[in-house]
Amino acid sequence: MRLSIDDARSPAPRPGLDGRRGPALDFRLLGTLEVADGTGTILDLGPRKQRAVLALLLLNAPHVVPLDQLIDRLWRDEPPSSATGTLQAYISHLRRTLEPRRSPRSPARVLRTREPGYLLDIEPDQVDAERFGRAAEAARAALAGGRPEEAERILGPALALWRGEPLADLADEPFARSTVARLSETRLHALTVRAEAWLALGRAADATVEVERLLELDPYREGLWALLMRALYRTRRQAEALAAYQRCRTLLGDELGLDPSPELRRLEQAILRQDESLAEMWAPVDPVAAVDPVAAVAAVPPEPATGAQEGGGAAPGLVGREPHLRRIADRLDDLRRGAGGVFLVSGESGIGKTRLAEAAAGMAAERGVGVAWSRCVEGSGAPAFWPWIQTLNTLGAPGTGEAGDADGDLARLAHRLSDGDRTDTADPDTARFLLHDSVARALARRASASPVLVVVEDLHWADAASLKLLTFLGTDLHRVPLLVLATVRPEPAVDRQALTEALGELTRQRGTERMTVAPLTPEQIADYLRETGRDGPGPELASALHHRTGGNPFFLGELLRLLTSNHPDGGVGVADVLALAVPDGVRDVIGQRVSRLPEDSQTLLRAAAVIGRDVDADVLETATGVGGARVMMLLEPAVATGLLVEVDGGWDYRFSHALVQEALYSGLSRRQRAQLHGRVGEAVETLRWGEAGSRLPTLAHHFGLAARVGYADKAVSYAVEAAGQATARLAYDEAVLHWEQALDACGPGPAATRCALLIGLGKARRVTGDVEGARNALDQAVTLATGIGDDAAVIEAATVFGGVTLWNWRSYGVVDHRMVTVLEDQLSRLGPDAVSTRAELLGTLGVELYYGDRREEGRRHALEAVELARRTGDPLLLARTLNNFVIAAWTPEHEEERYRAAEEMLGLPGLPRATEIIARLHRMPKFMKAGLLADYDAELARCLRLTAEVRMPEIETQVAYAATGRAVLAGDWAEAKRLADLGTGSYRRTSLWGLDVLKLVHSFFVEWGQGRGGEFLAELVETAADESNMVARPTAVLAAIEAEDLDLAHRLIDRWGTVAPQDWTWQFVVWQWGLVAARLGRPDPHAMLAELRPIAHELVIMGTGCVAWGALHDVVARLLHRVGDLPAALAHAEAGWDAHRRLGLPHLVNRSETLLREIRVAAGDAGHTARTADTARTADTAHTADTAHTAGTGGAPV
Amino acid sequence: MSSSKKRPPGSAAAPETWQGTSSPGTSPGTLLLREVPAHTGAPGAGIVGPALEHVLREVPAARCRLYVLTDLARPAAAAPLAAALLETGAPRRVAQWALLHVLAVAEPHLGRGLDRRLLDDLLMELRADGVRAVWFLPGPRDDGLRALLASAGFSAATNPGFSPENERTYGYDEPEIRPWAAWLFREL
Repeated sequence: MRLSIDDARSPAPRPGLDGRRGPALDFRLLGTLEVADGTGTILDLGPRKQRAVLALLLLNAPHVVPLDQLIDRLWRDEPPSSATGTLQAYISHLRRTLEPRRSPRSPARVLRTREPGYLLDIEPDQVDAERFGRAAEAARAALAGGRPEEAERILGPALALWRGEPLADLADEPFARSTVARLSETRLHALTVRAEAWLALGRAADATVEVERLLELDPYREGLWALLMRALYRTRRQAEALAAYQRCRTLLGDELGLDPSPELRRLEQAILRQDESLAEMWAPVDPVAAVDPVAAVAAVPPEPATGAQEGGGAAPGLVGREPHLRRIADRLDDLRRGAGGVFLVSGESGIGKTRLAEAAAGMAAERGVGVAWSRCVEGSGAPAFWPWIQTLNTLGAPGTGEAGDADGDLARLAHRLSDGDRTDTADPDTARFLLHDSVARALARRASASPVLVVVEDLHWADAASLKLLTFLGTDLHRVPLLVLATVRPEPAVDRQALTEALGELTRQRGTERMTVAPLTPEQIADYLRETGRDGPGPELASALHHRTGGNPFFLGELLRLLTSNHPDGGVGVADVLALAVPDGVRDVIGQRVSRLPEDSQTLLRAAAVIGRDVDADVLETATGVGGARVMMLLEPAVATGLLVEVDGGWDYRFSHALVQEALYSGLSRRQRAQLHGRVGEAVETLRWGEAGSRLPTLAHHFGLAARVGYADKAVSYAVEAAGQATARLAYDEAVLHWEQALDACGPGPAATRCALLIGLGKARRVTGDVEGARNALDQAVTLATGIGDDAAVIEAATVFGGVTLWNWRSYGVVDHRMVTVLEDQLSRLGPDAVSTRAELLGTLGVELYYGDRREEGRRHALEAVELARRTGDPLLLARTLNNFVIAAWTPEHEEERYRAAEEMLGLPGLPRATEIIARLHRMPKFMKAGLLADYDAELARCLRLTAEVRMPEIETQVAYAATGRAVLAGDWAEAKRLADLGTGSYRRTSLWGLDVLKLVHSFFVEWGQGRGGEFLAELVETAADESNMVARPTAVLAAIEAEDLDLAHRLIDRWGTVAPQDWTWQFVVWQWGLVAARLGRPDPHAMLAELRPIAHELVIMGTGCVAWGALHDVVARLLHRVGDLPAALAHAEAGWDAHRRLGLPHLVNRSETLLREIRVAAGDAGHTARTADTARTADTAHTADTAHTAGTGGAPV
Repeated sequence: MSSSKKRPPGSAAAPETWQGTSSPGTSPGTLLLREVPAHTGAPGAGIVGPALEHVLREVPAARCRLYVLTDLARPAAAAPLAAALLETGAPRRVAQWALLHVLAVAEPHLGRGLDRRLLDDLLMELRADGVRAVWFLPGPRDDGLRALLASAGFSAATNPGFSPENERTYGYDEPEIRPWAAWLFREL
């Protein structure tokens, strides 16, 4: 056995390299391929092909040899997938040979995987050929420097490194040939140098023998002949020297037909002349190039420069992205001035958003800006707030710089987000506000210590809770040195209303900016090809690639990789692009790349794709039943070809791009997916990693998708748990998703289960404002519960809508008779002791009866519910039933009782924020009608403040409308419009009745207040035709009058009548009919006066806001004017003018003054023409009214 | 992987390699080789048949290797599709050789080429373990397997290259057949 290299030899391998690798291995190719370990033991390198793999890597070390080239060199005839498998098996075994003590799952340190292939991570000194090459060069230099002893001393041990022909066992491998030739040449040079040194040292005889031997090896080297002649001449063997010349001349002449070179001829002449200067002649051998294995081999050209970044080394990264980078740099610089914000990077999948984000992170780091990277996960598989949990954890981690998390704030918050909130408040809405606020404050504190860049990748997959938190933060970021850079895909977010809203809201915020990343142009592709040395002679290749890929950088990168795989040796041409069999898209390209892997690797990749973009190796092992070492081995080729990247020190994996995972996943059949999800779910369940809380959504996700293959029970139970957890985390939209998931999984399962799920879903939807959806679910629940005779479930479902709300949740005018029957049925069968339940049922029934003939009965039920609730002493039940009463009793004659009920609600202890807001909103119309504007404003301010904490769309809508009405009253039209838009925005997120009709009525009055409004006529007429929009009927008639289409106004009245229902719309409707009557004489002005005179002192308000107008004195005055009672008309007009003046409402004061003038003119006319006939009076009044209408500054309409 | 259905009929010149073994129009493969502990109740034991018991009696369990081909797209408890039983040299050292005893496909899955798939996986696995040669002694009913091995590069050899300790008579090998049975082997 061969022992370690002699210590005396100068260039010896370094012992330990980095302390981890152990004693360095010694790689020897000057002879058969050999590797000796640190103890000098020769390792068993296995079969020939395996040794060939090692040799190829060794000849290129420490550079990467692409996997495709290894296969092309060694398995040209085999299909790639099986060749890759064989290669992988060898790589795997070589690793065990080279690093026998490495644990199977720790990353390899010698034979490493790095896209696009493998490399030997070794030092040059670890290769004998390298050491030899250096020694040869040093010896040559020594000789040239006149130090032949040194040259000889160096060369002795160096030449002893040679054990035989280089790579003797692999010499016939084509890849080895050039290396073998080159190394042999180097050795010949070295030997020549040594002979020359001997000659210089006076050992001419030794030199002669040596040169004769070398000439036997290679007789055509004139340099050797020259050396021989000089050596012979030196030993006084002049004749032999001349004979040598003749031998050389004959050889060259006979065999090659050449003459000796002039130099050799001159040497012959010098010998003939016995020239003493011979030693100087014929400088020693040519310089011997150091043997650099890379330069020497050239069998494997170095790869074009590729970034080590994930996402594909071949993908064009930042070509054409200069404007984006400049803008990001500006924003990062702004951070130093304390200004942050939200920077949205949007672009299609594969366009290079992540690359840009990575570049931004790099630029941030250069500027000393802390970077936190977080990533959203597709589907519902991650816990709520996931990106923020990651961010807080990163920023809170110890060692994030001097500005780290000194008091553990951020880490605590991350825990609060992930573990459900434990804030000590009974009210979930307040809790959510406090949570958002704490996160915002903590981040602001952290950022004020040193600026921060938070990267949120794939915002389009963010959960609704995270989006809400982002918009909450966004409000203030323009004055906090924190920049959130989020990548987002632009495709329309189906079912992602939360995203659409969040993006909309962010766009309105000050620090927000959005930049689109566009596809590459053919010119940019050409630039990229040029940079990477792949360009062809003309622009055709770039344009063909552009045509195929649409300029998508990821697609381009993948396509180039595929083409390179198919042509490992040559460049890629236009014809290759055009001849590519599958032009369908990036998924097909990925599919082709995957198909080149061993089949078991493909299987594992598919299983990994089911796990998700991030692949936990433990989960993969457990799900597939394959051991860790084998998983690693099978996934290696995927890492080598850039489909996967290793994370966490090579332990876990991540798909290099979302598209890779998507392509693999979408290729699976539904059955395959379902089974795999089931396996993954079970693996996650078995492994129990992480907190239980963060597992739940994952489990619900996987089992949910496996529900149809036997995992329905698990799917349901985890989804229910996840829904509960989401609710605890105040992530209501996620809760809805999980309930839906549970229902999906349950399928046509047991009625009791479905019923419970439907109730959960109904409640969750109700909280998010989705009234329609909630009703749908609860109706089904009632049906199911009734079917199985589960009264408790029926009651639970039926009373959900008896909860605390501002408005009746039914559409206008609708009574759900079925639900009424259900409630009555339950009441009739309820035991006498179930007081609370009775209170809930009665309260709900009261609300349900509101829009029908039994309204008064409903009011009494609600009243009884309040009484029962009082007896229970439960303040929340009392609040609920009081609220039921306020809604059930919403008629003109019960105003006082309603207001008292609202007062009572506000006095109850422990009132949730939402309930408090609703109670205040119930009370506010009283302040408005009574003209107590200061009180109204104070209440409104309080509600607005509370709403910011609650952030429920339903409440936001109603508070915004209360503010809208106030702005209309003040004649601040622009503000009214802005607030109405705000209200409409939140309204849209609910499915409550009335969005369009209320918006329309409001818009009309805003225009009407400015002397316009006719433009809404057609829309109003059309909308009001619907019975449930009858509130808009008088408005439509007013619009007809405004448009001077009196015929239409009459026709509309003919069609609709002039009814003013005794419900919440009464005052508003009767006011408008009064205006109509004053103008048209219909409805009967006397009848309108009877309705309006008693409330003439009230200000007009529609329901709880939206539109508010001045005192009813004005309309009463008009009606009195119309019926000819001018003194009374004058008195009311003056009272109205006085009220408007007192309240400081200039536009209404103007209106009152116009009205007063009209009436005074009429009164004056009446004085002049005392006792004129009725006909004349009527004509005059109509005339003055018309005059006033056209002349009035504010456009008094009627 | 993209379904090849999508390709127009004219593009038959496409590299056929990217289809793998999944035939056109079918779902991509989810088959996977697994090694399972060799005992009589192991998954795949039914496929291997009585040979398992015989080999377990003769060879230390640590040197018995039972491999099964499973489909991840079938329930976890479902029986494997194919199985193979091998014996290797002493553990804790690189086993230089492996002796194939049985390689069989379960009845319902015959005719899908799963034997070849299992064999390929197996060879890759053994190669990664450093095994240098695989041996097989065909019995009277092994014509199918013999043909499979021949197509996979196995050739006849009269003199088994592994250590003599393994030269023994197996209970299931009828003694009168042995003398003129030729070994098949393949270097890895």
